[in-house]
Amino acid sequence: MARVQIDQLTVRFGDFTAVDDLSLEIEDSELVVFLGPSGCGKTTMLRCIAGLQACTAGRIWFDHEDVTERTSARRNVAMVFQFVSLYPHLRVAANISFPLQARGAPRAEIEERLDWAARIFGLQPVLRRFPAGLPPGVKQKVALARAVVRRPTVLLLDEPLSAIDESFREEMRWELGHLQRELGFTTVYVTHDQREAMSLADRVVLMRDGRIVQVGTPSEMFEQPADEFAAFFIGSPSMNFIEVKRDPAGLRLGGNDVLLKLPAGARAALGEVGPRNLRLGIRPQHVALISDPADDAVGTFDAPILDRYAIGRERYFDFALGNDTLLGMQVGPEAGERPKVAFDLAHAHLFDCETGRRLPVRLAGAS
Amino acid sequence: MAVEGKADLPAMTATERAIRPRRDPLSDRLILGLFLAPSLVVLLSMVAYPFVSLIYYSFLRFSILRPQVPAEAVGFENYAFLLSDPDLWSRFVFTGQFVFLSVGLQFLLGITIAYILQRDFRGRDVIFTALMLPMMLCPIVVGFLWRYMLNSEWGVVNYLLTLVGFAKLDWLGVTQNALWAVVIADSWMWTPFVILLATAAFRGVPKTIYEAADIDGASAAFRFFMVTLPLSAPILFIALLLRLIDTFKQYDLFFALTGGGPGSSTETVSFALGKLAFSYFYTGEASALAVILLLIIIGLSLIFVRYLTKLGRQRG
Repeated sequence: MARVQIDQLTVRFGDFTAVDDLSLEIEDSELVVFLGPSGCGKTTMLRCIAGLQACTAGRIWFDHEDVTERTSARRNVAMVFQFVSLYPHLRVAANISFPLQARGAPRAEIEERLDWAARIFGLQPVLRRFPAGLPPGVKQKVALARAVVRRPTVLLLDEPLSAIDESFREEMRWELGHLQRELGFTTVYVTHDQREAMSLADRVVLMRDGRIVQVGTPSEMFEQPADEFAAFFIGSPSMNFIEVKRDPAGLRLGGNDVLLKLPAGARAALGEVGPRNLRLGIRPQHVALISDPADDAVGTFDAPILDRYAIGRERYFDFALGNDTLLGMQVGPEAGERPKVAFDLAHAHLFDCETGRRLPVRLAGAS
Repeated sequence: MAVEGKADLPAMTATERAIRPRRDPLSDRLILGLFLAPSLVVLLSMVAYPFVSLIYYSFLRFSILRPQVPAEAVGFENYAFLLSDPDLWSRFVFTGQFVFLSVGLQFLLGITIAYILQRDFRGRDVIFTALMLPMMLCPIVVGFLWRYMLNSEWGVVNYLLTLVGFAKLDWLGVTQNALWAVVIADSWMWTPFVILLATAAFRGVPKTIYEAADIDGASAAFRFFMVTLPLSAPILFIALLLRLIDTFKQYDLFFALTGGGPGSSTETVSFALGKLAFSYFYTGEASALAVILLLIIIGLSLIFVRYLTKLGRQRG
């Protein structure tokens, strides 16, 4: 277990820059999830920490040791790969104890650790089997057992759940998070699945094009996205984005047709933003239908409701603004005839159209 | 009766009539047979007939040199004669020595060289191609080539030995030296085959397995013996089987290099078989010996096939 420090790391493959001047500190026992679309450099990042990928520039520190030049074997890291990479010629027991055998650990210690790891993952019944006949979930548990059996300095997980069936993945995810907290390994987890990231991470590192977009706890990522990309990538279903124009009474949506009334405080704050093109972002969870609000209620407006439907217990509705179709999610009781659309302004964000950055304007007013 | 006239036709739609199997003058089975017939004839006459007649002759007292002397059925007498001949047993011992040394050397060298060639360095592909050349030569040519090189008076091998201060060796005139001479020539020719298959086997090991081994802290040696070799085992075992059978049957090199001498001390079983069949024309005994060799090779193959099947089942 250790603190990991990544210092101005850059990896280039020819002309392509996979990781671009990236710095990050990972605390002892922390579970950090690298999240991003494929090709964003998150796996390259992980392979650098593992020592499988040489970096073009920058340094990596474990505690106070510079490990940049060390081979994987000398870093005492453990890694679970996206595609099961167990040793097919070894039985499960030999697979798990392989890292200990490789280090020449004494026999008694190997037996003890093997027993411990097998117990944690419930693998005792399959210890004598070969990996080939095991279901993917069990294989990945063997890979996890092989990873933790050596008590690694850092545990690296590269999309470990992607090869596993949906139904089993949820359970594995929960188990993984639970184990990580219990065992306390400093863990770096790579995934493109934001739900996985949001449910597991102590901190999420959102990456795009080799750079960090935002680092934060899952709730920070959800509540205060740094920019439109973060806002769009995190959360399901995705955030609605609406082009807006300023109006003395608030904001005009959908090609000037609709007025979104804002409280006085928010209007004042908007005045200070300066002459920029703005885009409003609001998650479907924060858009509702309500019946008969007061005429001057802020955050409400009339819009044609296109469709209402339910997915499981969640009720959704599509509404039109100008030429766009947007999504809302009914949380409260069903609204009656001729309902209005209501934005929960406390959770609405304003973005700069040019830079995509989120502007620090509180639309709910009172600061 | 709703349907009259021909029993089947009116009830069928046009489509059904179109796709209905038609009775051709040539049925599918007949066409199949006709296509297969030429190769079947060749196979039967070239493989099956000799095989059956070999077994048949092995129970006869008979020589093809004297077809006018009627063949006499003698049961297992030929087999008994061969297996009680101490000279033949010493041929088996010698062949065993040769196979063991030769195949052992080929695998030791072949796997080592294949391992070294795993690394990427300049000119690797050129070296690899050059290394494959001996395998492509005709065995009898290789035999004569080495015979000249190993000549005790003016051969290049002895010349090189004297250069570094050793005495000239009588390579082909002393039994033990002659054995090594053939082992060297055979290994020179067939180590490339082991290199080729070992390289293929090594490259077949998935990269992520190597990465997992690196992460797991395996040293280069540990990785090679615990991961690379066992994962290459299926292909290496096939190479081993092929080399064992081939070396066991080795004839050309002995013919060209030693001619079985000095005396008959470097005669292998197949060399003895050749003499029995085509120098002495003891057709019955020679057939019996050929059957014995065949059984040995089949037995060997069965062991390997069993082992490979077991490996396949384990690894899925």
